[in-house]
Amino acid sequence: MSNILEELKQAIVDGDDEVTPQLAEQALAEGLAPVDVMQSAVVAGIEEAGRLWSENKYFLPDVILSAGAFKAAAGVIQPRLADGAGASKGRIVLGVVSGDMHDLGKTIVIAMLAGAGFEVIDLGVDIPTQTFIDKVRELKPDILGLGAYMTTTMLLMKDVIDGLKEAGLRDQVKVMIGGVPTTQKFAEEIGADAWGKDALDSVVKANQLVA
Amino acid sequence: MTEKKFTLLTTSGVEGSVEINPEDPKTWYLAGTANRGNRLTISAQGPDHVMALSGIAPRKFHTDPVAHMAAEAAVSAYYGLDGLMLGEDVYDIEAEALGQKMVYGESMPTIDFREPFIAQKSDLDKLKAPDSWIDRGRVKYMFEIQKTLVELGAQSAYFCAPFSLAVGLRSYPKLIRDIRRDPEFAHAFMGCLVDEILPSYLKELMAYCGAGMATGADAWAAYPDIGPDIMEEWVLPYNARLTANCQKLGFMAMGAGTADYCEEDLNRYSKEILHKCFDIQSKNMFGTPFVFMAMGRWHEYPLEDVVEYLAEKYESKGIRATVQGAINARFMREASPQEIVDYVKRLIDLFGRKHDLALFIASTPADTPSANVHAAVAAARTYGQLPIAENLDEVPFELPQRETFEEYVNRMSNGKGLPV
Repeated sequence: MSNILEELKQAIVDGDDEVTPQLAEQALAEGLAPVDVMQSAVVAGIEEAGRLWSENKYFLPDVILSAGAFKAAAGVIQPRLADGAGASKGRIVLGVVSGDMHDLGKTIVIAMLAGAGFEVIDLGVDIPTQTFIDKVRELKPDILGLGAYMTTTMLLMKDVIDGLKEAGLRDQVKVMIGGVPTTQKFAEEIGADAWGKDALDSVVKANQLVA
Repeated sequence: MTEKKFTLLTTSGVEGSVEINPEDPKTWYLAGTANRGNRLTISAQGPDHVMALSGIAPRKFHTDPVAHMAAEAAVSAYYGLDGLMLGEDVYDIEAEALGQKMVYGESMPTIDFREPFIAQKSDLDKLKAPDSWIDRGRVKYMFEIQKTLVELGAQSAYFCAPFSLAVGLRSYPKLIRDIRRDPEFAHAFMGCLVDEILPSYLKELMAYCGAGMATGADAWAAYPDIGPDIMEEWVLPYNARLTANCQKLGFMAMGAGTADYCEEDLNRYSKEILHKCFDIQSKNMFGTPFVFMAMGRWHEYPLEDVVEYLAEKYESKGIRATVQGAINARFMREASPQEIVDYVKRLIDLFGRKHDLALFIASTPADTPSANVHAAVAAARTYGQLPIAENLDEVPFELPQRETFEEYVNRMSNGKGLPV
């Protein structure tokens, strides 16, 4: 691997979001193919951060910084990917339910899913139930991701799933839920298709859902 | 009215007597503490559950101290808890009072992390303690709640500890970036919180509510939100500095919930890190022999590692530690009553004889079945009789059959319902 790709990968592992856009620009300016920069450095970097997390060598602060560095680099490269070069495994629309402003987990999940090759559309936090339904109709994602971080707001996930049923959209999209108060049992209770225990598990489950 | 004597077990045996007033759930709670004998205590946290059970609308529940306390007292009395089922979300009040934007919806108000109060580093200039806090945000509401808690026997007021307040005002990602990239700014920010903001807030709170001390909730300083390195460098020193500043003002204030071990992924569970967290907890309490289990998956962690830590650190020196034994929130919601009883029994068996065990239901989810809370309380009362029996399997136990909360309120209020 060229030095610039190594540097970019390491900057993502180090979580340096000031350097990663510069290095990404530099790599493209050197004539490297955007898809190679994306796969060999940017995705490789976030995967390495995930590996360090899973081995207890990284804590949440490290991962959140790596996710920020990933986002900054990907923002430079993605617009320059040739059509088809960045073909995704599937489209995921993702947001935190109404009344809930906690987006820490979502930030990491988005980085990991994007790093794993999914097209991720982030609706943000405090998203009304109807907006989720409208976005599923409009964007036709393979997966709808719902996050909640309070025991009151997590109950709204069922409203979203019920709303999808009423709108005739439920069989067109898989629903994956996540967030601190949620569990596999809760996912089953509300009729979700999968529960992402954490960001890495969300990638595993998303891969299963689109397989 | 029937007069009953009460003893508040969680507050060092404060005693008194009370007449049960159908229109005042606080008296139901106090009367319910009568004649409980010598046993381990069990308390709970769970504003979401109290709000759901009482049926009070979120806005009212989180802004009206009278309604809030009536609900807290009624739910605590219903379950027979040894302390009021705390309580209000302690992480937002100070931040909101300082100007942090909040979102009010169908749940607990939450900080709008999209628009942190300290969005730019230059915003640090905006961070000033007001001349008076009482009319800002929901401060009066919180002060009134704490005043009532003290009237009901609480010895400590509570507040948001420095690190968690820093997250509330700056957002987690930005604060972490500051710590890693611009520690000078981060130290200035933390210093302002512990030298100016929190002493000012606490001075006014303590004068208002009459508590003897204040303890700071610190969920953002839990593991793995931060690792032991950040706890050592960015949490402990500032908690200690706050304590020193408040001592100069004539009262005791300390961070209390720091370094709670909350690893979600059992594949990442680490005895070494768990023990480091316990060490930090004790340091945070100025060396007090103290082991704090709260929000983690304690029903799944190997509790033998806690036993080992206590044996090496304290028992070997003849020291009894204070151990908070937690019942996990999701476990409370999803386990069967019998599973909860078995777990509480295990906690008591492991920690109840050699140490001072206090049982704690952590952040009870909104839709937790009441039968599960009753089961936990019944297990604490039955197996927690002091001295703890040598063989708990020989202690007879029956799952309680209880009326619903609605039936309880109707009975206690003579059919009038909660006075809210």
